[in-house]
Amino acid sequence: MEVTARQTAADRFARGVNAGLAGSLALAASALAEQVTGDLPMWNVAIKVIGLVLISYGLVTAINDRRSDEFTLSLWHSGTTLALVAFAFAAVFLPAVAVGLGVPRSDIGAARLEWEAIAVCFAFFATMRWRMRGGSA
Amino acid sequence: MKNRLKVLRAERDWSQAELALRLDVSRQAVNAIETGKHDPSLPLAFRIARLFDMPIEEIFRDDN
Repeated sequence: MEVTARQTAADRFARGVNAGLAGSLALAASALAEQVTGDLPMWNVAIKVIGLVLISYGLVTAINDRRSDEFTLSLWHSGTTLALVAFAFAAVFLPAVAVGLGVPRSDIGAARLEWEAIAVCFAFFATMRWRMRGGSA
Repeated sequence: MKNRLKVLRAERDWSQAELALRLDVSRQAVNAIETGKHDPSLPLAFRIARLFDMPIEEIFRDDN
Protein backbone atom coordinates (compact mmCIF):
# COMPACT_ATOMS: atom_id res chain seq x y z
CA MET A 1 0.00 0.00 0.00
CA GLU A 2 1.34 3.38 -1.04
CA VAL A 3 2.03 5.79 1.84
CA THR A 4 1.29 9.37 0.91
CA ALA A 5 3.06 12.45 2.24
CA ARG A 6 -0.24 13.37 3.90
CA GLN A 7 -0.35 10.03 5.77
CA THR A 8 3.30 10.37 6.78
CA ALA A 9 2.60 13.86 8.15
CA ALA A 10 -0.51 12.66 10.02
CA ASP A 11 1.47 9.81 11.58
CA ARG A 12 4.22 12.26 12.57
CA PHE A 13 1.56 14.55 14.09
CA ALA A 14 0.25 11.61 16.16
CA ARG A 15 3.78 10.77 17.32
CA GLY A 16 4.31 14.41 18.29
CA VAL A 17 1.10 14.41 20.35
CA ASN A 18 2.20 11.27 22.20
CA ALA A 19 5.67 12.70 22.80
CA GLY A 20 4.25 16.01 24.03
CA LEU A 21 1.87 14.29 26.42
CA ALA A 22 4.67 12.11 27.80
CA GLY A 23 6.83 15.23 28.21
CA SER A 24 4.05 17.10 30.04
CA LEU A 25 3.63 14.21 32.47
CA ALA A 26 7.40 14.01 32.96
CA LEU A 27 7.60 17.73 33.77
CA ALA A 28 4.65 17.45 36.16
CA ALA A 29 6.27 14.52 37.98
CA SER A 30 9.57 16.36 38.13
CA ALA A 31 8.01 19.57 39.49
CA LEU A 32 6.02 17.60 42.06
CA ALA A 33 9.13 15.71 43.21
CA GLU A 34 11.05 18.98 43.44
CA GLN A 35 8.40 20.60 45.60
CA VAL A 36 7.89 17.58 47.85
CA THR A 37 11.61 16.98 48.49
CA GLY A 38 12.62 20.66 48.30
CA ASP A 39 15.66 19.55 46.33
CA LEU A 40 16.72 19.17 42.70
CA PRO A 41 19.01 16.14 42.35
CA MET A 42 20.60 15.15 39.01
CA TRP A 43 17.99 12.48 38.23
CA ASN A 44 15.29 15.10 38.50
CA VAL A 45 17.24 17.47 36.26
CA ALA A 46 17.48 14.62 33.72
CA ILE A 47 13.69 14.14 33.85
CA LYS A 48 13.19 17.86 33.28
CA VAL A 49 15.53 17.83 30.26
CA ILE A 50 13.82 14.76 28.78
CA GLY A 51 10.41 16.35 29.37
CA LEU A 52 11.46 19.59 27.70
CA VAL A 53 12.89 17.73 24.69
CA LEU A 54 9.66 15.72 24.29
CA ILE A 55 7.46 18.81 24.62
CA SER A 56 9.64 20.74 22.16
CA TYR A 57 9.36 17.91 19.62
CA GLY A 58 5.60 17.70 20.22
CA LEU A 59 5.06 21.44 19.81
CA VAL A 60 7.19 21.75 16.66
CA THR A 61 5.53 18.69 15.11
CA ALA A 62 2.03 19.83 16.05
CA ILE A 63 2.63 23.27 14.54
CA ASN A 64 4.29 21.99 11.36
CA ASP A 65 1.91 19.10 10.67
CA ARG A 66 -1.39 20.52 11.92
CA ARG A 67 -2.60 20.96 8.34
CA SER A 68 -1.89 17.35 7.33
CA ASP A 69 -5.60 17.03 6.74
CA GLU A 70 -8.86 18.35 8.17
CA PHE A 71 -8.86 15.85 11.04
CA THR A 72 -5.42 16.86 12.36
CA LEU A 73 -6.47 20.50 11.99
CA SER A 74 -9.60 19.82 14.05
CA LEU A 75 -7.40 18.13 16.69
CA TRP A 76 -5.21 21.23 16.72
CA HIS A 77 -8.23 23.49 17.23
CA SER A 78 -9.52 21.34 20.10
CA GLY A 79 -6.06 21.31 21.70
CA THR A 80 -5.49 25.05 21.48
CA THR A 81 -8.98 25.80 22.82
CA LEU A 82 -8.55 23.55 25.85
CA ALA A 83 -5.03 24.92 26.40
CA LEU A 84 -6.47 28.44 26.59
CA VAL A 85 -9.15 27.30 29.03
CA ALA A 86 -6.49 25.51 31.12
CA PHE A 87 -4.39 28.69 31.20
CA ALA A 88 -7.35 30.74 32.41
CA PHE A 89 -8.18 28.23 35.14
CA ALA A 90 -4.55 27.81 36.19
CA ALA A 91 -4.02 31.58 36.33
CA VAL A 92 -7.08 32.04 38.52
CA PHE A 93 -6.97 28.96 40.75
CA LEU A 94 -3.30 27.90 41.14
CA PRO A 95 -2.38 30.76 43.50
CA ALA A 96 -5.43 29.99 45.64
CA VAL A 97 -4.51 26.28 45.78
CA ALA A 98 -0.90 27.14 46.68
CA VAL A 99 -2.01 29.47 49.50
CA GLY A 100 -4.40 26.77 50.67
CA LEU A 101 -1.49 24.31 50.84
CA GLY A 102 0.40 26.72 53.07
CA VAL A 103 2.88 28.06 50.52
CA PRO A 104 3.83 31.66 51.40
CA ARG A 105 2.65 34.14 48.77
CA SER A 106 6.22 35.33 48.25
CA ASP A 107 7.28 31.79 47.19
CA ILE A 108 4.51 31.24 44.68
CA GLY A 109 6.00 33.24 41.77
CA ALA A 110 8.36 30.91 39.88
CA ALA A 111 6.52 27.69 40.77
CA ARG A 112 3.26 29.26 39.58
CA LEU A 113 4.72 29.98 36.15
CA GLU A 114 6.06 26.42 35.89
CA TRP A 115 2.74 24.83 36.87
CA GLU A 116 0.79 27.09 34.51
CA ALA A 117 3.06 26.04 31.64
CA ILE A 118 2.67 22.36 32.56
CA ALA A 119 -1.12 22.71 32.79
CA VAL A 120 -1.28 24.39 29.37
CA CYS A 121 0.98 21.79 27.71
CA PHE A 122 -0.88 18.91 29.35
CA ALA A 123 -4.29 20.26 28.31
CA PHE A 124 -3.05 20.85 24.75
CA PHE A 125 -1.56 17.40 24.18
CA ALA A 126 -4.01 15.40 26.31
CA THR A 127 -7.01 16.88 24.45
CA MET A 128 -5.55 15.95 21.07
CA ARG A 129 -4.59 12.48 22.31
CA TRP A 130 -8.07 11.96 23.76
CA ARG A 131 -9.69 12.93 20.48
CA MET A 132 -7.34 10.70 18.51
CA ARG A 133 -8.49 7.83 20.71
CA GLY A 134 -12.12 8.54 19.87
CA GLY A 135 -13.26 11.23 22.29
CA SER A 136 -15.21 14.24 21.10
CA ALA A 137 -14.53 17.84 22.14
CA MET B 1 -24.21 12.73 12.41
CA LYS B 2 -24.43 9.08 11.42
CA ASN B 3 -22.96 7.69 8.23
CA ARG B 4 -22.67 4.49 6.17
CA LEU B 5 -19.04 4.90 5.30
CA LYS B 6 -17.89 1.71 7.01
CA VAL B 7 -20.55 -0.38 5.25
CA LEU B 8 -19.86 1.18 1.86
CA ARG B 9 -16.13 0.61 2.33
CA ALA B 10 -16.66 -3.00 3.39
CA GLU B 11 -18.87 -3.65 0.34
CA ARG B 12 -15.94 -2.68 -1.85
CA ASP B 13 -13.46 -4.60 0.29
CA TRP B 14 -11.34 -1.51 0.88
CA SER B 15 -9.20 -0.97 3.94
CA GLN B 16 -9.30 2.34 5.80
CA ALA B 17 -5.86 3.13 4.36
CA GLU B 18 -7.11 2.45 0.83
CA LEU B 19 -10.16 4.65 1.30
CA ALA B 20 -7.96 7.37 2.82
CA LEU B 21 -5.73 7.21 -0.25
CA ARG B 22 -8.71 7.59 -2.59
CA LEU B 23 -10.08 10.52 -0.59
CA ASP B 24 -6.69 12.16 -0.11
CA VAL B 25 -7.00 12.24 3.69
CA SER B 26 -5.21 10.35 6.47
CA ARG B 27 -6.21 6.92 7.78
CA GLN B 28 -6.95 8.58 11.11
CA ALA B 29 -9.46 10.89 9.44
CA VAL B 30 -11.31 7.96 7.82
CA ASN B 31 -11.44 6.16 11.15
CA ALA B 32 -12.73 9.26 12.96
CA ILE B 33 -15.45 9.80 10.35
CA GLU B 34 -16.51 6.14 10.39
CA THR B 35 -16.83 6.12 14.17
CA GLY B 36 -18.76 9.40 14.18
CA LYS B 37 -16.06 11.28 16.08
CA HIS B 38 -15.43 13.73 13.29
CA ASP B 39 -17.90 15.29 10.88
CA PRO B 40 -16.25 15.79 7.50
CA SER B 41 -16.11 19.20 5.87
CA LEU B 42 -18.52 19.85 3.00
CA PRO B 43 -15.78 19.48 0.33
CA LEU B 44 -14.75 16.11 1.81
CA ALA B 45 -18.38 14.98 2.05
CA PHE B 46 -18.76 15.78 -1.65
CA ARG B 47 -15.58 13.83 -2.46
CA ILE B 48 -16.96 10.85 -0.52
CA ALA B 49 -20.27 11.09 -2.36
CA ARG B 50 -18.53 11.26 -5.73
CA LEU B 51 -16.29 8.31 -4.86
CA PHE B 52 -19.26 6.09 -3.98
CA ASP B 53 -21.41 7.63 -6.72
CA MET B 54 -24.23 8.37 -4.29
CA PRO B 55 -26.00 11.50 -3.03
CA ILE B 56 -24.55 12.88 0.21
CA GLU B 57 -27.81 12.30 2.08
CA GLU B 58 -27.64 8.57 1.32
CA ILE B 59 -24.26 8.38 3.04
CA PHE B 60 -24.69 10.86 5.90
CA ARG B 61 -27.77 11.18 8.08
CA ASP B 62 -28.49 13.99 10.50
CA ASP B 63 -29.22 12.74 14.03
CA ASN B 64 -32.04 15.26 14.29
